[in-house]
Amino acid sequence: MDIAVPTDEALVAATLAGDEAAFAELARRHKHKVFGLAARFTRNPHDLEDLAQTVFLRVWRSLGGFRAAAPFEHWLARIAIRCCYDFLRASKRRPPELPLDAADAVPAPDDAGHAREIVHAALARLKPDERLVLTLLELENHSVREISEATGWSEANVKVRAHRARAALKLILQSHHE
Amino acid sequence: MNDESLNRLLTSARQTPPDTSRAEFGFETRLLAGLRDERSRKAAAPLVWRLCPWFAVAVAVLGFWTLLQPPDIGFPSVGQADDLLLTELLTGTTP
Repeated sequence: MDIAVPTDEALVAATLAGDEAAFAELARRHKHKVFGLAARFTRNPHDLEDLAQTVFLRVWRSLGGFRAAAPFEHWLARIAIRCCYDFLRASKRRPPELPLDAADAVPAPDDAGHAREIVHAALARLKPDERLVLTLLELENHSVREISEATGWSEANVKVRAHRARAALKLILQSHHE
Repeated sequence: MNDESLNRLLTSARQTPPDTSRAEFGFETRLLAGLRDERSRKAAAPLVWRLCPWFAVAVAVLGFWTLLQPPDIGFPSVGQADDLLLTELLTGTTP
């Protein structure tokens, strides 16, 4: 017997009709992606939870504007990116300490977790727009076009910011080594 | 640090996304609770606005009623009462 799994679009329609369970199902399906993106910007569990909640609450408020022209996942990603950028701009937390061996550490292949922490600490020292662009481009595999659509910046602008961000990141890692 | 080293570092970081499984646990339940909270706040907001004019009218009526009261209702003020009490204590007589 084949049980039909409702599509995201069907769940959106059900949510708009007042079905809370449908929205919970949407959240269950997509929370991993949202948490994954949010965790690139904060390691604090409370901030992480708040950020994920902010994303889904904004999704819930904006569902009436979802036109299904693009997949729900893409629409959600755009909202998540905007929320993360707002979070970065509002965040006043001190960046985490860079590991001592950050600059000369091109970690061994089995030490990817260490590399992730070095990159996280170094990225935290960049300006919010530079950090966002570099994270999306280099760590989350988004294209320049996707970033441009999500942020409203032109593709050329995204490329310029990415270039500046890379240069700044190199400088941060180098200056830490000296 | 050269471009090649930076690329290797970024590739390495890309391959190991942070573990968020603990934070994700039970998220839908907390989200729905947050949603209900927001809904109830949204529902309460118009009621509060609707009550505003009535509250303003009540404040105006109370102010008007206070103005209509006679200024002196015959009792000594607190300062005067203290003076009378002190005189009574010192002299043993009631003025």
